[in-house]
Amino acid sequence: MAGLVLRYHLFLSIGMIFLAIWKAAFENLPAITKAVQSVVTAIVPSATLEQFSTPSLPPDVAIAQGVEEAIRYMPVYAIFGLGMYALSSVLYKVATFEDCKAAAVELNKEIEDAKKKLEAKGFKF
Amino acid sequence: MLYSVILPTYNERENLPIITQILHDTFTSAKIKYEIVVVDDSSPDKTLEVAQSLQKIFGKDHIRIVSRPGKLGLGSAYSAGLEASSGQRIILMDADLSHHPKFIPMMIEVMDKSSKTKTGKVDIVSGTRYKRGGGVAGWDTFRKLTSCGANFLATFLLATGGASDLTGSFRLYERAAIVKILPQVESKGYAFQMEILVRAHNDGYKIGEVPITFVDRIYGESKLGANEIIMYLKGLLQLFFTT
Repeated sequence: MAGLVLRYHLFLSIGMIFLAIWKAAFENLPAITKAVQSVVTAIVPSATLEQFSTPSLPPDVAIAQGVEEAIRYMPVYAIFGLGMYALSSVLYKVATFEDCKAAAVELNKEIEDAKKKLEAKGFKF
Repeated sequence: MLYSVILPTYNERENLPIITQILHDTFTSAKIKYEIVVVDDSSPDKTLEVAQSLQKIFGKDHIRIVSRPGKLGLGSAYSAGLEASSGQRIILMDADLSHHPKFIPMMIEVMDKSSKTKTGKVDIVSGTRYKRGGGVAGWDTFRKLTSCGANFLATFLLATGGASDLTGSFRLYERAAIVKILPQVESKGYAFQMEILVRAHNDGYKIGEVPITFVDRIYGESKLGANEIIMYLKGLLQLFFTT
């Protein structure tokens, strides 16, 4: 797998695919908004919906605003998500990093043994 | 089968005899034929003389010496050591006792058993500090952070064949593999070890792993300054855009 597809090609293509999805999301905003509205009103009981809405901001409008915002800031969310993934991976690795003090102690002993063997063979330190 | 251990040395007069003795013990009890190739870059502390006395004790067939006129870099030290070696399998490791020879038979076993596994024959066995059973003695949290951060960045940005420890320098190679890979490697510093694995994966070689314990240098000082970090990032970016 050499030469043809370089790493940065791969990342660039992923970036372009993301941009295409973003553009498509904007172009289909009305359809997406309707879909989200129907899913939310089907799943969430109307009492809860009432709690979160005000006279000037009925549930449907609030959902529409949320969808528009989510799509508008998609790249920001993606980068933020990536950053969170990176941070949690590294912190997890550091947290589970094994300290092997026993190895250091064992090594010191082995150094002494090795020195004795070497001196017995005529090595001069 | 003869195994060659290539040990680049610079001011290792204290550690060289000890690593030699431990290597000798490890190989002899495992009944493995070995040779150690010491590549010394004119160490001011007379490491060369120490190597010569070790040669008298352990024999010229066990200790080969390559003496170089000055500090010429790790990559060329490996190349020089390779040229002077005759083994079919090569072990590259540090001479300062941070790597323990006891892991070598484990690496050999992984390599030998790999031909019978589904994933196929492994050409390189890399010692990893990050897997269960491995680890480091003597690192504070900051040092762990930089190491894990550097490895995450590299595994994310580059194609590394599933290796978990990219900056480690304790590995077993089939001779054919390292002979093909080494001339392609251009980076210096910590990125050097990483580039070996990236090139290996690029060339289609498979990489196996053995957890190892790393004891941070006893007789020396570790060097991880801003310079090293910048060099590493440069090497990373270079590989990102060229492989």
